[in-house]
Amino acid sequence: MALLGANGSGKSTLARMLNGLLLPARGTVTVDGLATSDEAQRHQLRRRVQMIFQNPENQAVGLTPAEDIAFGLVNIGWPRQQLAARIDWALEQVGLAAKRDRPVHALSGGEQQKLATAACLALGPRWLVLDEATAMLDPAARWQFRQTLDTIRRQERLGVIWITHHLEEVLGADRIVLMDGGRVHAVGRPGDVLGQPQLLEQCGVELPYLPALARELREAGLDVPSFPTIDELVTTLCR
Amino acid sequence: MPVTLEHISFSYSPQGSGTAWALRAVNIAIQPGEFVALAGRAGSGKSTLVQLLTGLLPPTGGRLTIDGVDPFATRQPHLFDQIGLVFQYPEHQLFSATVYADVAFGPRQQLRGRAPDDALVRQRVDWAMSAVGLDLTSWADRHPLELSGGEKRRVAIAGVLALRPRLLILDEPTAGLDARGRRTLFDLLHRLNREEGVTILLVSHRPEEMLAHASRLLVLDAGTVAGDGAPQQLLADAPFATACGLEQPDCLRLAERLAAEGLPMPERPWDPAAVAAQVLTRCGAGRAQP
Ligand SMILES: Nc1ncnc2c1ncn2[C@@H]1O[C@H](COP(=O)(O)OP(=O)(O)OP(=O)(O)O)[C@@H](O)[C@H]1O
Ligand SMILES: Nc1ncnc2c1ncn2[C@@H]1O[C@H](COP(=O)(O)OP(=O)(O)O)[C@@H](O)[C@H]1O
Ligand SMILES: [Mg+2]
Ligand SMILES: [Mg+2]
Repeated sequence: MALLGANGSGKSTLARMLNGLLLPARGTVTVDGLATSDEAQRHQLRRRVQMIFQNPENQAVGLTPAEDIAFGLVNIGWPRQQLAARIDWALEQVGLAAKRDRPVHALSGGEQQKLATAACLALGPRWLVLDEATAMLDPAARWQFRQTLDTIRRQERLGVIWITHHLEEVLGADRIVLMDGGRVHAVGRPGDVLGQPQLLEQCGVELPYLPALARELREAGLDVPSFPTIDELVTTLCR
Repeated sequence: MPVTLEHISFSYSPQGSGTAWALRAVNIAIQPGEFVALAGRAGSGKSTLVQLLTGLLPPTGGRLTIDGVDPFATRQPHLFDQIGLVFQYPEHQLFSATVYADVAFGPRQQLRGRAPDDALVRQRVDWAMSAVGLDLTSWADRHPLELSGGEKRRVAIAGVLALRPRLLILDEPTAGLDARGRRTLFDLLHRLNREEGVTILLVSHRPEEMLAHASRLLVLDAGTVAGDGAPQQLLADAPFATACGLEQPDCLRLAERLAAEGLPMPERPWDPAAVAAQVLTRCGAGRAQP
């Protein structure tokens, strides 16, 4: 699920409610049947819902990837003799096995975000919340991270909540939630929500280049798909 | 105020220990009034270069000049006062208890010694805040760390603008900004650039941004200058762009495909509305012919 909206629209606030970092003033949040307000279950909840943030540099607590992942595992009382296996498994998932014992500060931004993901995965979550986790990555690292996440999501059957200002990242999402001024403004499949220009404009969200061009052409009466590939555009325009 | 880097190199490890050069033999001259984009993959040296230009790091080798003067050799660090930097992570830049105090910090320092004119400071803050699209009255008393990500970034940018720098450097300023925030920022940068002659150096990962806004693109690769020229020319060179970790933007890939089919290159390939208009005019003309 993608969570979109302008600066200050409430995305991060909503995200922080999902694992009880913030509690609602009114209403209730439940995750897999656990109420976030229930202190007895908070521990359980925090494990189930893991969060990854924007700044790759300040999310690691250990000096090496192995140490960093171990820290979280020890915290939840993971059996000592099974630590190494779990660390290796988590690093394997994100493709960082080779950097197991390198200094964390020598990792690229993309690698640091993968490490943050591995540290979350090791704890066995059911949900991953990514709050602009790709904002500081270069295009290559951004796509790689996106793909890594997608593979893990399918393999581990995780629910992923993806917050971003880059719409091209979420065209393949199952659902889009569009926020505006602290309210949920629209919910639906990408094609439905993103096909409404006024709605997007109102919520301060901008289409990526190809769909934006397609929209201009469609408004002029040309027969182009809303989310075209370059091939489809070339075919239409050269006909 | 021209700024030059002559044969600049920089290493984070103490002299002699190891050969990891973050920058190697970099030669760049930035002329007053230019609008320059700086690109390159993660770790290529962009942030290091930016920190050298703002005097935060001294070069390991080579010479830097501002207005023809080397601020290190002549011991004139105040020359760097004309250069403003918006950091890559805005939260690193915010430290005061209120948004007002944060944005006012720079101008207060700058005007210290002269008449401590609160009205003048307030005027600067007011201008800088409205420049980033925040209304001073409703934001002045907020705590800078209790803002959303995009709001923090706007405040950080305002704090630097309030110094009225002659060279404004922004390290990936649009990360975390929404569509409106990006538009406001670029409108502002062009206004400063055009009307007040402020030189702009923009670190960016977004090729569409470089194309649409910069007249010159500097590409770093492994600490050296791999490219220096017109953004459209450099980005259209697919092997070069890929080798430097830059993404070929969809707009240029489309333009290239259309060119291969005999259609002319659109004038503003990065602007969907402009491309559509040109294509439609041509279609209309085509249909009208017998
Ligand atoms: N720690 C805080 N204390 C008080 N108010 C806050 C705090 N963090 C955010 N806010 C306010 O709550 C509102 C929603 O902020 P939130 O961080 O959820 O926005 P967002 O959608 O994540 O925005 P962005 O795209 O800029 O990250 C904003 O008006 C913001 O100023
Ligand atoms: N504080 C630091 N200490 C040691 N090495 C660093 C430091 N900051 C950056 N580096 C190294 O210098 C090189 C250039 O990094 P940087 O200028 O941050 O690149 P960019 O901004 O293009 O991502 C990289 O190899 C990076 O690992
Ligand atoms: Mg946020
Ligand atoms: Mg950087």
